[in-house]
Amino acid sequence: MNRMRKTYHITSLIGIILIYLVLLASDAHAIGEFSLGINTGITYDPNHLEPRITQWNTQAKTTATSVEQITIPYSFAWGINMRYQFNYFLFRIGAHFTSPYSVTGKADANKSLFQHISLACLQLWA
Amino acid sequence: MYYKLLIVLCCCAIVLVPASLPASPFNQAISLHAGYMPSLGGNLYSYEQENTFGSATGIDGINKSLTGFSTAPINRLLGATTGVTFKLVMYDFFTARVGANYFKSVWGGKGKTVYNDAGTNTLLECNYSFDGFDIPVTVGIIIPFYKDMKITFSCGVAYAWGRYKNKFESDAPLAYKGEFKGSAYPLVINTEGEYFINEKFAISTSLAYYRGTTTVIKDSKKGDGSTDYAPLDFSGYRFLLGVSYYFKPI
Repeated sequence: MNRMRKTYHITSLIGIILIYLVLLASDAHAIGEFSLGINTGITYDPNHLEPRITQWNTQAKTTATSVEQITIPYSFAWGINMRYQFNYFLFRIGAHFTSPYSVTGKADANKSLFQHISLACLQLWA
Repeated sequence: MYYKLLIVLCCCAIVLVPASLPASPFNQAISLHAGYMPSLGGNLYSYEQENTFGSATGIDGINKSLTGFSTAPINRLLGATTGVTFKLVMYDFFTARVGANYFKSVWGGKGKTVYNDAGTNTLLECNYSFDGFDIPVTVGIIIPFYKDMKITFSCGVAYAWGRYKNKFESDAPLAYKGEFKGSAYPLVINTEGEYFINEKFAISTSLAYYRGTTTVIKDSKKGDGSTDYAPLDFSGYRFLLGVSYYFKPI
């Protein structure tokens, strides 16, 4: 939980800095064009625990008569990116973030199966 | 029952009536397409493969060879797919789509391997197959290029139903047969390029990616003395070629 909170703080801080930089540069007469983008969406199995969950569910199914299986989560995702374009040159940098739902077993309620994940991407188009 | 039909009819009316008006900013198209799906069904994991044949990674780990045994590689499945898509184009730049696709494995999934049967190396003949259908619903944007080309990016979700069968036979004698049926809601992303050969007809090529898996499903095949368990994996790419007909000229 603390790790997740820390990640939120870091990403929020990055976002604020980026917005500040864009606002700062909005009056400047730069060569080229700067822009800031925010996007949201849905992702599935964000930290690829599917094989482990499948194995867990399979073991449970083969040993118990009635099993409520762990489902692979769909998760809300959001991202922020900055772009600089100068004629045919385009440079874009951004990051995507998601917090998968925590799944806890009743017998082991203190352990969370999912971890927080932060993805980053870098694009260079010319 | 009737209220479901009513909802479907209302949805159709909402989509079709505005689009049929002459000055409407909506256009409709219907597209037929066919293509192939590499690695259909993913690694086709099942419990018996891990428990009896020592493969925790399904078809990937089942391949083994040994001197003195005439084995043959068991490849991942290659699927063929065909389907129809209804497209609604809004204000030239936005689209909503609903489709129906059928898919079936046409190549791979057959071969011979070796497994350790209580200390004795034994030849095992394997057979996998996968088929099903899906109904994707996506929304997206259209980027027109000149007068005769359009590139479309769309994403959404699909309802997918599948059937996965496997069979393992050896001289032991041993025959494990499994059949798993189930459905899931995979996420879908689709990129399509269309070239208009006239004002109403276009040929298209598209790349779609599905991502979604069912929960673990119990084997419905009876009489082989074993009960297997497996998920159905709908994740994978689809490469398609198609033809579109637009109800109004572009």
